[in-house]
Amino acid sequence: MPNEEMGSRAFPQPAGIHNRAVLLVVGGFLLFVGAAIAGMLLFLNTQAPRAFTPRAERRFPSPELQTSPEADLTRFEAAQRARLTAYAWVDRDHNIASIPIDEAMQLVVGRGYQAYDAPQPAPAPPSGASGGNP
Amino acid sequence: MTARALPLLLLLSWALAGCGDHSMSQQNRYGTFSKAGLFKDGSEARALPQGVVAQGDLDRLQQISKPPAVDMALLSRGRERYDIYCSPCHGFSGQGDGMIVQRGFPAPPSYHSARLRSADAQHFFDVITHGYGAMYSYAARVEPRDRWAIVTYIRALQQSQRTDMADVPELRSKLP
Repeated sequence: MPNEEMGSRAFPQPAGIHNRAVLLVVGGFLLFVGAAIAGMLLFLNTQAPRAFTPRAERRFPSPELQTSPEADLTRFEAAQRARLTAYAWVDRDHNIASIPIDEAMQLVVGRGYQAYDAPQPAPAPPSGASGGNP
Repeated sequence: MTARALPLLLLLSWALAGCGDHSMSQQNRYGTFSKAGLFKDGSEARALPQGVVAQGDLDRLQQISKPPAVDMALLSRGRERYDIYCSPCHGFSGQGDGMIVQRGFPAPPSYHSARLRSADAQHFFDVITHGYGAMYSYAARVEPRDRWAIVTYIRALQQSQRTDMADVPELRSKLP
């Protein structure tokens, strides 16, 4: 496209711009920003000196918010399942122990219909309970 | 060729547009809880006629009244259902310390307490069916046969967490 067709669009701005005025405005703006930052730093240093020190981590009492629920659940389930896979004493004095759940399931299956029965009898009612009502 | 095909295409598009099946959205029926002039009491909610039962109800009743035979398949099923429905509160080992409890929900009693070790199987079945305390009913989620399966698995948990050495003599060699 020839220059004569473009007319004034060929030049983005007129040649008579006052460069000094532009520089003054930009420089004044930068000066103002710098002064504002320095003033704010001075104010905070004198009035709130702790504003720049990192805050101490605050732990809320349990149950607190979880930062990684999936990892928490995986860890929790692993700890719970560990109880079902190991041999351990429960009450050594009375010869009571815990056994893996797979072994316990085999024992229960071996009982047939008796598997539904309670593993221990119901506690006897208090001696004064019977005959209490007329 | 194009001039001949155009009317055919138009006809086809009209025919396809008429294929919409509105029977699902526009049904000739009463809405739930709406008035129904067709019946004497004016209510659309109808009780089953005398002598009629819903499909599957008889099977369900039979499953409720007669516990299934105990085998490994039943226990495995109970273990799977327990891990899905019960463990979030009761914990995998039945101590009443599931993940939901860790987050503040009221703790259910341990299956290894004296009270629940002496409770009969029907008690566990009824609690699953009707709920108990903070626990709501699981009847809609757990079929009767699966409830019995869970009950047998609870018995296995009770066995696992409290085994008398007299019942398993070879246990002593495996203990730390």
